[in-house]
Amino acid sequence: MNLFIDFVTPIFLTISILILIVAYLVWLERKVAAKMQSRIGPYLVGKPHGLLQPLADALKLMLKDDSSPKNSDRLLFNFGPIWVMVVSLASFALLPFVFENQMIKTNLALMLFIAISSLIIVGIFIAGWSSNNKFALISVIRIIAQIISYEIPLIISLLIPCIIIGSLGFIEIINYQQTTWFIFYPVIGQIAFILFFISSLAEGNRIPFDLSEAESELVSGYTTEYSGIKFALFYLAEYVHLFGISVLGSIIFLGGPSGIFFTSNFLIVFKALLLFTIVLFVRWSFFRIRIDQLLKFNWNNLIPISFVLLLISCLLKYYMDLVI
Amino acid sequence: MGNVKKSLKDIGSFMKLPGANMFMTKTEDLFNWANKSSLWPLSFGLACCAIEMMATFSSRYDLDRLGMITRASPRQADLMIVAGTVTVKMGERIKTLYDQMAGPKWVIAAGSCAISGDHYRHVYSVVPGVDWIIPVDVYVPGCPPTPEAFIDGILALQDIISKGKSAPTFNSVSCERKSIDEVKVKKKEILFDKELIDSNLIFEKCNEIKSLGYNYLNFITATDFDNSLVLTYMFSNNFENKKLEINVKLGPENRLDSISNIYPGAEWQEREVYDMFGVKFNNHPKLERILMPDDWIGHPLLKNYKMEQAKLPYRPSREDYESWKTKL
Repeated sequence: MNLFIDFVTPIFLTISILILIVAYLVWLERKVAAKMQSRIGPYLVGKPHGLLQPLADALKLMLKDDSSPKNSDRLLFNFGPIWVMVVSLASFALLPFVFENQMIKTNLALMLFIAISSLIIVGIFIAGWSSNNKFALISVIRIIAQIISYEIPLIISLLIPCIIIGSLGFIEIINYQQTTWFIFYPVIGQIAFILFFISSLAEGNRIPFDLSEAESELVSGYTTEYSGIKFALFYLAEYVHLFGISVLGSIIFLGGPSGIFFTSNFLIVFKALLLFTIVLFVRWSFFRIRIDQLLKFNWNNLIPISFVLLLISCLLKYYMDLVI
Repeated sequence: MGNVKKSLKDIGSFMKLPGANMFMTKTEDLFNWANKSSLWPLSFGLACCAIEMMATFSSRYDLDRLGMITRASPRQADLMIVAGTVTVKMGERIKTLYDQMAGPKWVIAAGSCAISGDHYRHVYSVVPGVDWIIPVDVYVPGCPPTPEAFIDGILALQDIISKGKSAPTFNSVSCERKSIDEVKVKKKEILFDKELIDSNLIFEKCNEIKSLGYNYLNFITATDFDNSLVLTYMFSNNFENKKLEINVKLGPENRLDSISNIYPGAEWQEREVYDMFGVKFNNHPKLERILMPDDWIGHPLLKNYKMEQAKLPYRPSREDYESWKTKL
């Protein structure tokens, strides 16, 4: 019995803390958007600054009618949101962000994280295909082309720190950065961070790369046919995934829990929120680009730069090993 | 609502038990609160009222304060704001969108046209009030209503929801509007010519006009004199700032050559003339109805067209609608 409780407690705590953070990320996004458009944002629901807004939204979505289209594949249609939510939560088992160590202790944590989080696309594809709706289908085709091509620079930009540090485990990466954060590593660190930032924007479907939900063309993308709680699951999963990538960025590039004055796991979340806010600034000040421009930008610019950078860091590592 | 402070006794009741006190309240109140605090409207607009609606959503008025963000998909929307004139053709689409919305759902009819059709209510193609098609919760008068009126309407709807009333209930809000000074426009002098030609000669005449440097076809329209139709073509020469009007008197057959080979812009204008007046154009690539529904009978702008000819397949009679409303 004790073993069971030891096993379940961290999972339960992580998921509940995560969902609380993510619910208020939506609130943060609406507030930042309002600030950038000189509005006030959520205010009257839960009076100072709409603090109960996420709760009201979640409750309302649960109360709404649950409909599935007549000609859709019922089973897959209901399975899509569950898959997306489960996979995006599962990737957090590898991140050391609530407890001292991650739940699954392995020295291949980064590789596993990327492998698990890239499974989200399968759930999105299931949702878009089974809705039997032309907008959802076009959206899914776009999103697959986008994510498959942007995953290459994302993975390579994450590999560069790992090659220089010499490990794929988060603990080793965090220990290495106690003296200097990887973003301050001369030249390579900055370029790798910019590559990571751009390709993670595309991974999370944010503006300027939010082609899957282009409202002027595709109603609301792959979630067009979803209502009520199923839509809420998609909405939450998108933010969980984005928050996961922010946490990853804060661990690999921004030094994780190490700070100037003190060292604490709280700093991982703080840095992740800082990264998330930068993503929000980008989202509310840019326009959307076309699908061909999107793919051309990736294959012509990002991938050559990332491969050259990978080669340089390999040579650097080889030279450093020789010297030492 | 914020201005009325509720005491705990209004919300629920205390129960004294040995050892501890218990407070009991209804979940319905919580659910109503959730429903009214995140009303997500469907993002669509029909006419000029929609411009005021957009202004209400953007800075200075900011409906996000009340927790409202627009959703593009009807499956995720709770509120439909019908802002603008509802035509018969658009009416079918609005009905479809309303049916696609997942309940619980509410409707606001904003502006005189959506409420009653206003001064278009006797026009052949306008639905006299959107409540002929879908049940309406709140009517917001104005032409168009100001953002303040919109916000007032939404607050009225929130009041309805928090009381737990179901649609349709009739409520109205009011707002005044000030007039502004006239805008002065500078006028340019334009050389203007007029000609009357026979209907057989239109194609050759247009070739000639094009070679004279008239590069733009302004419009094609028709006038119904009691015994015959007269078509009016307007061409303009943008290099020399000249305009030319050509009037064509039609025979009893109502038939003449299409000029869409010479001026490609004439294609849909000829379709419009065909739709409204029943004039047939020879060699037209696609002579079908453009404004009216495909199954429409008759041509509405002819003088002998009668209002009784309009048959609306989906539209219920007023009595049917009233009886259906009392059932709800």
